Amino acid sequence: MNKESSQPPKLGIWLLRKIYDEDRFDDVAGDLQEMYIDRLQAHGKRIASLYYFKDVILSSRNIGLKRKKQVIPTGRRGLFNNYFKIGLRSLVRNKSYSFINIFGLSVGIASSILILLWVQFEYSYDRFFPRHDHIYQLKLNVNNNGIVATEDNMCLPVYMALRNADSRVKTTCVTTPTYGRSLKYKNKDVEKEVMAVSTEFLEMFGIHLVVGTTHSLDDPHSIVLSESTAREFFGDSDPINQLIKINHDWELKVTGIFKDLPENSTFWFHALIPISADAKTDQWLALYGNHWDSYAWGIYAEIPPGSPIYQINANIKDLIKPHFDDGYNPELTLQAMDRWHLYETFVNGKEAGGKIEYVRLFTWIGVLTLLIACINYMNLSTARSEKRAKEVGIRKSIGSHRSELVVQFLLESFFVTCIAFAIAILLVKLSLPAYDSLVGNRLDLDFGSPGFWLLGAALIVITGLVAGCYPAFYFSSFLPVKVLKGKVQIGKNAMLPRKVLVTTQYVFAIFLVIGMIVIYQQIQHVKSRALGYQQENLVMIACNEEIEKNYRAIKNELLKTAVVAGVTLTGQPIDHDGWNEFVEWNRNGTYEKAIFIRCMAEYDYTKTMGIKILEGRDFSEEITRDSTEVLMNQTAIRLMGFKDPIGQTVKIRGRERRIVGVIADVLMGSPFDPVKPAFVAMLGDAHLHINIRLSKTGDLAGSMTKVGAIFKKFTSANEFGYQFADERFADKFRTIELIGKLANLFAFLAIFLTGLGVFGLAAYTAEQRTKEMAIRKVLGATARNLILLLSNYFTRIALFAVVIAAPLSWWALDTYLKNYSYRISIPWWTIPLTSVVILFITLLIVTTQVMKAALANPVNSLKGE
Amino acid sequence: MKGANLGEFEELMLLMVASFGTEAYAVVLKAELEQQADRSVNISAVHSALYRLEDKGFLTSRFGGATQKRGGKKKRYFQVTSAGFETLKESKKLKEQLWSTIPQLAMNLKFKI
Repeated sequence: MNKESSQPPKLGIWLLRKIYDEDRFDDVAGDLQEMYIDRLQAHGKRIASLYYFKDVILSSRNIGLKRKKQVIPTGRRGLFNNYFKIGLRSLVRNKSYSFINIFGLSVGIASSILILLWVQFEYSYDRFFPRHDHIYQLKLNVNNNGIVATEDNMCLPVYMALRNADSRVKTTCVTTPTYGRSLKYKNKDVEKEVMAVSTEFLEMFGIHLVVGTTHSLDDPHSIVLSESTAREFFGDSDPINQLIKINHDWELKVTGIFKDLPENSTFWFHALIPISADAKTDQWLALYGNHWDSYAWGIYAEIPPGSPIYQINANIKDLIKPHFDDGYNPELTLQAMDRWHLYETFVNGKEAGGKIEYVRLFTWIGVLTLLIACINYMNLSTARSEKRAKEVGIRKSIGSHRSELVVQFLLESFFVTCIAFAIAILLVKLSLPAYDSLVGNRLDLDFGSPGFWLLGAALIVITGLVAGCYPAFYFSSFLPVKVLKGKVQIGKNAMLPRKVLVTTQYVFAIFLVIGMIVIYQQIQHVKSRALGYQQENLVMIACNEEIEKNYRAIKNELLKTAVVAGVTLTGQPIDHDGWNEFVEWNRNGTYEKAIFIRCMAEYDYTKTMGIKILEGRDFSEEITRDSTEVLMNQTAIRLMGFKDPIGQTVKIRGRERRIVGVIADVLMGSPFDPVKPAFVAMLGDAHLHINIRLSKTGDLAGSMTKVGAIFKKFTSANEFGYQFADERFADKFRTIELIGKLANLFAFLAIFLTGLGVFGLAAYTAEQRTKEMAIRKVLGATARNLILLLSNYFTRIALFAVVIAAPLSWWALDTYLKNYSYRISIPWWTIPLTSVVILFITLLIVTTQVMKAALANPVNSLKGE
Repeated sequence: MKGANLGEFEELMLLMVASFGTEAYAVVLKAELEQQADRSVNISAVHSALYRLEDKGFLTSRFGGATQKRGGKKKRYFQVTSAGFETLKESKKLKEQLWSTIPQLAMNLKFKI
């Protein structure tokens, strides 16, 4: 018989080998082959093969027989199986320690994941733009008497000049800032954030267009909407070619739809219009196209990556200089898109950090929290060393190398870390909604991305290594003869490192608690500082042309209602410090000048805002006839050194102004800075805001409905945007409040984890020293003596940690507070208070654990021997 | 050791192995089963029963008889152990005992019907 043809199909044999173990494969394969040959001779190859496969497939029923006969694997795999089994058993045997270990690690890992999510979100800003690494924003550094201010607003001619200045600038684009503008379609009239852009914008920023092309904004009468805005206006019907009225003024045709911008975008708009569409802008273009003195536009440049930006910067630096007033030394510079969000602060014309500092700070805090959790693992593992010592002794005496033991204990810690990681993911999932509302972003775990798993694996490896390496090297160092004799107190060897580790935990915890208190104090301090005006019940409404036209009538109607106590027009929100002007004055014959904040207002300004007049009078409808009268704040008067300010004159923009009143210092700008000198002048024709002082009725919503009804009489808008002064003010605390909240969270976590560790150690110590306690008790010690004896160890560590942490945290927080010029000095009681609280918590935890041992009947623990 | 009770098919296999003496292996057992009991089973079922019986200690096996036809692979010859015989006998006894009660039952049944 031909040998080739007598062989059953190879695939079948291979399958069969999978089904049966080595021992039984041979005879089964023989049986099947015998039958195959019989069928081959009777029915031919095809049928025989088919039957063979049938037999093989049905044989899969016997796969269960294989396991029963499985031999214990030997060699490396067997060893690993054994490690796994022993590790699992020791976890199960010591349930409470395992729980503390795993839970502590889970909390540590979960908190570092939460931090990482936030950090990653902050880093992801603007990265969704396809050409984010090509795009730069133009910034202008203006030197104001030695202080360099960095501005985003540019004059229009730079838009073209930039392209000509350096051939590496591929293209440029100009935008207005984003304004809330009313968009109207049929009866629907909503205020939306609208940005006017030049035609390059869509292409340059790679805006994701669902409908339309990069030329959708070429027609001056076009508008491109975001998906959600389009849905809001048109529902499911096709928005393309529909007409939308903007600012109740002129109509634009919808020519495209773009995908809504994600949260992590520096730009924020619901609609884009061509810069040429804006009638006003159009006039401005005509007016200022060649004017180098109007600064209102954002200018962006596209530069292929790899171009030496410093060279381009050198070429464009002086573009504005010839057109600028002398003495300001204006310099242009480019900032890469990737840095817009995190490096937003400029000092002396150079990037000087910004949000990146908080990102770094919290990355460190996340690392510290994880470290505290790792230290718990180390301490609890080594504290239990006696229980594992015999195992190590036996392993060593039957031939384990030290390296193998290191691997064993490292694997064990990886195993525990993996479990902890799984629980951590669960914890993160559960706490995400609360965390999202805390940080104010929508964060989520992205299980689909390889980056997440890579990061998760890295987290497991690092945590496993950090937590496991000390126990691994400690355990593997035991000498088999000594541990097997059982005479050596191995705990002693681990005392010093353990003390150091627990002290470290305490230092971190104390530091975070002090930080939490200080930041809270600082926030309260700033929030309660004198504002110079009355913040409550003050509401601000942005003007449009209709409101401006009917201002007098609106004011009269408003004042007639019972809910309004005062109305005034201003050129800026009450807490805005963005407009500055040089003021010159004559002091003893010499002219001095300085930059003052310029406020524009009209009659009833001080009355509506609730600002105290210290000397002189307010603008008066009877006396004030022109804009030569100004009010000055106290700081300004102090700066100018006028003894009798009323009636003095100063020069502003070359025109003489007469001081008619001195008002209290109004806090404008950052609440963390001192009040700057400011003057208030009568409004010209640019009316921007109506300010309304509501009477104290206790029913804000009701009052606002009445106010709204009056506005609706005079405008065609359905909704009108308003802002409360106290809400605006609260906005300025967002960053520091976020830091405060996160500091609270992590201080709490640090105390919790440290407490958990102390709990575990105390429980262990108490258990270990049960016999000693019993003997002491028999010899006459009281329960109080015993508790003091055992808690001594932890109390001393806590006190020592206070000694280290106190100066450290004082220094760190004082440095942090230096960022704010209006700040507290760290209250003296923070450190003693924190120490007492920490000590109290420690004693509480230790006492509850030791109490059991101290109160137990000594007979019970002594009768065993 | 697994439980000592036997399934119907297992008992059948055990009896057949016993009837073959020392020359019983899966293929011939399957063929015999088809001839004698007119039952068509897959070879894997035969293997399954034999190995289970072996694990329960009712059968022992030895290797032998590698042929060219089997691709040089050995046959596994099964033989009934004394424990196997005991179980067979017990099962037989039990059945006879049960059989002896049948007439009464049958009469009772008739009455009832």
